[in-house]
Amino acid sequence: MVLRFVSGNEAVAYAVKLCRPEVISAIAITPASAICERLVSLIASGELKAKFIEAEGEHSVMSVLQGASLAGCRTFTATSGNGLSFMNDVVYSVPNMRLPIVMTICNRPLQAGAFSFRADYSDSMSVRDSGWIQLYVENNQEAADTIIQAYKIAEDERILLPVMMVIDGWFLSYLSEPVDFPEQDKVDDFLPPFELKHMSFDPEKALYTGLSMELFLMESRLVYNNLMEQAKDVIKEVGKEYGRRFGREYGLIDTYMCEDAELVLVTMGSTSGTAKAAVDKERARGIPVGVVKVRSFRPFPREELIKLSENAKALVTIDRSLSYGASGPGQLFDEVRSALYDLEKRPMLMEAFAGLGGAEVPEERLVDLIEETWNAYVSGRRLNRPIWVGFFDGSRNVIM
Amino acid sequence: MFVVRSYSRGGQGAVTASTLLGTALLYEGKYATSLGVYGPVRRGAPVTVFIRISDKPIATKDWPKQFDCIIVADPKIEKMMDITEGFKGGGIAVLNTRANPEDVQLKIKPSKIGVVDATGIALDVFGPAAIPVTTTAMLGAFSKTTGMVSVDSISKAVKEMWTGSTAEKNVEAVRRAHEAVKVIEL
Amino acid sequence: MGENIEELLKKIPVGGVSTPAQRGLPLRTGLWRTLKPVIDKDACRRCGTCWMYCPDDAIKKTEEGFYEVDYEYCKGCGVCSEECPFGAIKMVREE
Repeated sequence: MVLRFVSGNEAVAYAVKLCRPEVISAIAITPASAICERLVSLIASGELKAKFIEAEGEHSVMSVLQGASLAGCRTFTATSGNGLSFMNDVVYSVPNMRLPIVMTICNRPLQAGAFSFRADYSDSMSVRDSGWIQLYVENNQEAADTIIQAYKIAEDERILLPVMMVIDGWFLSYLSEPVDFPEQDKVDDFLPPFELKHMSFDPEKALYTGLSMELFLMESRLVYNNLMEQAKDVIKEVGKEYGRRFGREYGLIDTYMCEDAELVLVTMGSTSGTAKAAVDKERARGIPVGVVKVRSFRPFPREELIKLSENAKALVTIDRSLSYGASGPGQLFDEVRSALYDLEKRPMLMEAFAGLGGAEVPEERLVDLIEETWNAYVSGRRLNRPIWVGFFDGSRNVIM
Repeated sequence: MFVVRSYSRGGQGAVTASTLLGTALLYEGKYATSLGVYGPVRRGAPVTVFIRISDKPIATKDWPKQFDCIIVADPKIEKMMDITEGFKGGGIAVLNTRANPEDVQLKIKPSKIGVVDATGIALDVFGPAAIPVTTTAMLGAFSKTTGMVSVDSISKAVKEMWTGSTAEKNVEAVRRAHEAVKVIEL
Repeated sequence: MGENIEELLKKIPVGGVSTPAQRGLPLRTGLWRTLKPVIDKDACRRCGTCWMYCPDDAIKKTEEGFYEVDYEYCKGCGVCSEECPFGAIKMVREE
């Protein structure tokens, strides 16, 4: 156990190093640059035995990793916002080929214009349909732990799907806090060397990938969706094993004070931490509120939320992105509402937005949010318009 | 929880210094979070670093609005912005200035002021520079003024981050400021 | 705070357009300075090297053909002092 005071970017870099990647390619983009800069520095000093392949753009970066992964290499890259957009084409073909690439996304807005560089989920949300597993982290410790689990999940033979580890750009990637890193030998024990079995580069056994597109058009889509559903079990298994070996257990969700909570905030990312602090304040005032953190957004933990709704009477989702014109329009809200629709007894479901465009999420505004939604719940008058947390430079919430 | 806001300019090393502080606190069994907030990344531009210090892990990740302590690593910053915004009355101010502590005028009255000529120390230790690295010296001043962390822990953190003359010079800057800082209670 | 949110939303500029175009001038980068250049008029030969090299256009030509530093914007980078062929510019500590 090595305890270090590190930024989110550094935490990811050192965790990746522990996983012994073989090929890394990257383009520097705020707020993710330091991850691959650190990895390149470790390669240069000889501490990390990997190959760094330069590329001129993120589209090429993902193409390089795709090739390396097909050749049986463990791979890694990190990007944000428009960098993710630039590789969009290849991002979709990676799960098709069943390649267990691991990528870190330091969230950065796509919706807020070129010079917004703090977290908003419009980038990771833009590829939620792609077939990449998406795991969101609450703090830097989770970032390090999730990287190590990501490789185990991705490379599981039942799955062989790529994993996106998503960390709030700037608010976590630039924030420093203590992180406990496991020892190399323990990680080696947890993560055996990678071997890709369905592809080979043997000239005697020439194989072609990507052809089956015209052969099983409908059927393949069902297969891939089933893989995603099965990934739920794998994510939970790996999370439990990680807990046994390293002392911190993980799942599809994480709950805080939900056992006796009537009102539950549904959060993702760093907002979860701030929400827990807000919950502590409101609990001191007697309000039975808790937090459920959605860690795995893809596959979405439908069953866990249904189970939670057996006790929770009111849920408030907090989205950090929205799909303009959608029913929600928040994506998390739409997932939760859809998951709970078939229940005979549905909790009161309300929607909030916080941190859009890279705005900061003030703890005091989450305290206000708990007050506003608690009042709505006890009065039986559901807020049927979203609550926009922290309008006007974080000074107030607006219901509109 | 002890909340600090550090004011400096890009190139003075505030984010690095906050990492040293967090590491030093970790040696002493304390938890901290630190986050630099600034616009486009460039030398000279104003940089704020938010630091939270606690005995327990810190869950909240928002930007603090109220501060128990302000560290001002450059004497001209107060002309660019209000360094007392959010500063709690009766807090601690650690300032880089050649003024005497008795002559320091702050809009919000602190309970304690520590002043040190960190610019002078930095120019002396690191040599002439358009933007001298004053923030490691300010850590030494912070240590003496607040007592939140020992100068030995900071020096240990410096030697873990760097080797050779970089480490030596930074340790010198930290210790000289620790010696030279004038602290008064109000 | 009873202001009309709708009215405030209308004030957001269409298409993210920002005005005015010349946004740099109000930012007094002279405040970023630690060391300031001081030109010794007796040593100055009016060659114009400092004026040419200043990256921030912070050295202005006077009517007599001498050069003076615009301290509102000079960031104290020291290039003028470094480049002056006659050693007429010294970087001194300001405060």
